[in-house]
Amino acid sequence: MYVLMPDPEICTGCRLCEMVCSLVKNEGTITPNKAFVRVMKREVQGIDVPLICYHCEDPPCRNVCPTGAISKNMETGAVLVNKEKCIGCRVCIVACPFGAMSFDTEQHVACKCDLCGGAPKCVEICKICNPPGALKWIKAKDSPLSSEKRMRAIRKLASPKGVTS
Amino acid sequence: MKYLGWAGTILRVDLASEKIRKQELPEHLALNFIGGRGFNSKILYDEVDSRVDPFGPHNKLIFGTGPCAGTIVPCSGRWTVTTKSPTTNAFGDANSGGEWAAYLKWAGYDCIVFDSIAKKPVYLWIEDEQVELRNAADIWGLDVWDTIDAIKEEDSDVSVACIGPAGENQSNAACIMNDYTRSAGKCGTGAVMGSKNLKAIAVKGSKGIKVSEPDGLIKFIKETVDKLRTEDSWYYENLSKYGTPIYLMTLNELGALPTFNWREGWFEHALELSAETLSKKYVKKKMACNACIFHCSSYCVVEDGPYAGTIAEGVEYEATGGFGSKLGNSDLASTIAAKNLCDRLGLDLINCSDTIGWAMECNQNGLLSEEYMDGLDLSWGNHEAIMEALRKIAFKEGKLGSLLALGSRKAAERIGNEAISFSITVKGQQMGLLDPRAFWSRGLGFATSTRGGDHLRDQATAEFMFTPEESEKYVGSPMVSDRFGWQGKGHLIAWSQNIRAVNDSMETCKFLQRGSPWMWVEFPAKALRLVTGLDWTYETVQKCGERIYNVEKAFNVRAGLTRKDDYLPERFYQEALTKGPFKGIRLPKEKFDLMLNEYYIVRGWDVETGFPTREKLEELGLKYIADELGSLCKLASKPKKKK
Repeated sequence: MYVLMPDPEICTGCRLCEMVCSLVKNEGTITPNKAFVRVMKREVQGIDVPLICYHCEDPPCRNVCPTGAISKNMETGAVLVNKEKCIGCRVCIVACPFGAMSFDTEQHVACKCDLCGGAPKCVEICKICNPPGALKWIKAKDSPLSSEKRMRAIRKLASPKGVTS
Repeated sequence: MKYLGWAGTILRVDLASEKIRKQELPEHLALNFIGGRGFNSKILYDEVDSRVDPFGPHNKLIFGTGPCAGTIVPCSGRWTVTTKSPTTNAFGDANSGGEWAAYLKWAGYDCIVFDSIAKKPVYLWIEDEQVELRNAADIWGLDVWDTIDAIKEEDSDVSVACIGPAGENQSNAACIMNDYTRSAGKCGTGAVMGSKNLKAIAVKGSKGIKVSEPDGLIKFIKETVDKLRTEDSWYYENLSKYGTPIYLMTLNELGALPTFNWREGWFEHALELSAETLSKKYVKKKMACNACIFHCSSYCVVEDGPYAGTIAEGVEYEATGGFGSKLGNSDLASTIAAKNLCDRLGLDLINCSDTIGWAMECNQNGLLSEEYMDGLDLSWGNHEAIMEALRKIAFKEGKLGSLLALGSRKAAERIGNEAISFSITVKGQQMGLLDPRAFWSRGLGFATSTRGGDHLRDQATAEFMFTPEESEKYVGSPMVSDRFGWQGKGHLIAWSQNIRAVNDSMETCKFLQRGSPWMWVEFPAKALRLVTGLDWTYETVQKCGERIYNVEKAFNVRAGLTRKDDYLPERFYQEALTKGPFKGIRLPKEKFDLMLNEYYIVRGWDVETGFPTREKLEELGLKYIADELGSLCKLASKPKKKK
């Protein structure tokens, strides 16, 4: 099983992930307000954070859904919405701590990232950017991101100026 | 609009009557002028008399973006603002990146045309169909960052373009800023916005842009990155890693780094200003404009020294060189602080640094009397005085502020005599930091740019990046690779100006085109094909570029400009470089004349006057312009072949 993980230290805020996501999910229309990945940009603070659905192990959106429209596929790890069962109450939007749940104002149902069926387009496009890898598609088991982050922390701590450098 | 890519609507805002009208984008405009700069130039020529007062009610301020903006075409998040410029008193435009262009497209607009003058300060609010002028009393007087913060309090998901105090005070160095740190710098467009009592344009959009070939576009991003990696890898890797500051040391080694107000081309403290020093000491992160594949912008934090606590994003070569070597200043942190101050005050840093350089050289030669100095010590390298001068320029404070806010050319005309020779401008416009004595073709580019001295209207890198065969094939002359020869330069400059006009009209970043022939020849037409679904070719886009350039030229000719305005400052003809590998080299005027003649011939313009010819204008479908210029006796006819 793979998981989608953002790395804000690498993200430069080009927003190609947003645009590509909306492009493939909206029949050829690029409109980031309908994308399932959003980059929070804070130009003055120098912050770019990709906000995604983390496909939680214990998803609050699923837990609060009154009709059982949201489920987690234990094989792929994806948390998915069944449009037939969704009644459009938006409770899942309230419950998600990351703001990752969206609402389709045309079909009047909740909608969200489906990991593109196992090959996320946002990851694909992020890979070719320079520096690559602000969005990672990694094996859930060995979690290379945490080992990479540990290495970064060690480098910072070991530098003469300490963590401030 | 039946074609994809364009939003399909031009927004027309009459500021005096507060009437807002939506006009359907005419098909012929889209197909012949592509978008952005092309639209703006055509609208300016058609609707604004070249002789109007730039600050008067009859000047228009036109914001435009192109078919690629708001899509995933690499580096496409750009927009152009066009007006009659107060710095050149002729055609003026400026181009910027960030997010604003994409937001405008997603809201459903290609262009916004502002007419007349608002009775009181206002700002424009756009949220899809809802467009309204709002009272700007509370934000008038705020600097750029505070203005954007104040507007974002209402809705954090808007993109804002605005002016700072410099624009409000109609300082000729004022630019229009967007997304905090992106600037449409040239030509004093911010001053025109200030004169219209227009503080900001806030946009939010949810309509999106439909493109013709989604899968093709995703593949196209990969193809573009691959081409850059294989055909121009040094450039791609370094621009990604360091951004434009990487040029500083390269140009210093070539003896082309403007130093002490362009007197010299080599700075002994250049290493202290280098990209490596910047990266090591100050850069915390790389940041990007919309859809960018380079990420050239550096986010810098100064942690110690007198400028501790300063942050600035997008610290470019024009900052480190402009406030550095050009002013004899080796304090890198101060250049970051100066860039930050320019962003917040809404100043064009090329204009300001050049004007301060002019003042420093005047000061050195005792040309500025004490009453002008306001107690400021404008000695080379005095960075505290540079900061103070920037504030004075933005607020037109005191006699020095009012003088420098004119820009170096108009200030020099006021002081007179020798001071004029220290103003390094073409058509009153300051140039990009690159000494034309070491790059003759850039000299021709600076001189013939339609918006005055400028390094972005052309790109002469084909000179050393193309093989003679490639030069012959694309540029039209194999001679361009001879750096200090005059032949072929006219071909090179005209050709690259045309493609640059196309870039600015599709609204893609000019950083894509450098050494890779694929970028010049294949990229523009292919991007347009994938977005619009129309059958664009290299030939058709080239034609559009040439058409746009001729419209801008015609605006200038109608304003009274002639061949004599297509010359460089005397310094480059008379004084040789004194240090570095090209010591002793100047750009002799007789050689420059030969280059200029060749350029006019390639352009199909009259060699004696620089006027366009009827034949060329009609070939480009601009008969009405030929008729108008003819009635003003500003039209030439095709030169007869010599027997």
